[in-house]
Amino acid sequence: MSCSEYDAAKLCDALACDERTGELGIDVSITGGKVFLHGKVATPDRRDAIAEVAAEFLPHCTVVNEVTVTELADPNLEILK
Amino acid sequence: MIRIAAVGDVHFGDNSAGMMRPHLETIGEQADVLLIAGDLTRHGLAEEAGVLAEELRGVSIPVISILGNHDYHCDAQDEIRSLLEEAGVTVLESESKVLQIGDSTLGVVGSKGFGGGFAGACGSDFGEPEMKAFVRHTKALSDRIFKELSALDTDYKVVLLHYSPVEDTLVGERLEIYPFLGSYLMAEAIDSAGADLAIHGHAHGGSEKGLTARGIDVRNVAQPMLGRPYTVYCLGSSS
Repeated sequence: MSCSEYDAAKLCDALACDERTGELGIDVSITGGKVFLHGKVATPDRRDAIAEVAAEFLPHCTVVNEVTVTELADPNLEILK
Repeated sequence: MIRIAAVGDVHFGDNSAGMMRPHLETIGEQADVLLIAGDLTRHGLAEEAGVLAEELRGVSIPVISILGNHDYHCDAQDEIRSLLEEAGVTVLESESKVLQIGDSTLGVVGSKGFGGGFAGACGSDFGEPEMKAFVRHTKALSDRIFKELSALDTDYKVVLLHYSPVEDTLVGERLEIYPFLGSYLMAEAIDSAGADLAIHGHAHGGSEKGLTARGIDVRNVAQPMLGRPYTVYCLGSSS
């Protein structure tokens, strides 16, 4: 069974609604039978949860988790006027 | 000069304790007020807001927040607001707050705002009830932004939103989702009433800097995009 663009759309919904993730900003694309996940999250456990939900939702696809964890730099300052 | 620290989309979960407070211990040395541009929580749960409220309790400068779309997900927005207010945070929903900062007054109008799109590619108040309700929600909030801004008589006026009023700060997001990220109606209200700065969140993949059609600065402060605990914007340095 191959993955389709419909699977990608439904996985986006699942990542938003699943209580383990609640992520709206994850980009999901399907190429060559693999599901690629892109985006930024705050912690490693959130990144891992995204892959977990994706693997459960599309068990017949290989999940490539390219979601990154945002490392916070120091605050900066901008003078506007 | 007024120094405004701003951040949005902190998306607290029930295990987020300690993710924000260490960055706030010395914020009073850098800023006069902290504005939070919504999406305080991941799922809109009161428990998540409670964790954030404890991080914000006792911060040395005034904290003003709005709610974002995530904060409405579980219909606990009233409880979320109460928890934050009990911790000393001012929560604005189509309301304004005036602060005295040194010799100057700062007026902050806060509104979640909503989507609909931008000139040439936006929804219209036409057709099915669901479509009209979508657009009318944005219109109603934009009208309130205009009225609240117009009623302010302060040295500086800042608008705090969740959704974006301009396209500039969405660059980096997919064009197809712009109508779900903001609306020109809010920029029109801001331009009509006048303001010094508009701040928003929501667009994690967007850009920081933009302008309204009449040249009012707009800043996207979604934390995943900023990559910082907050950014400080200074107003009045030329006076």
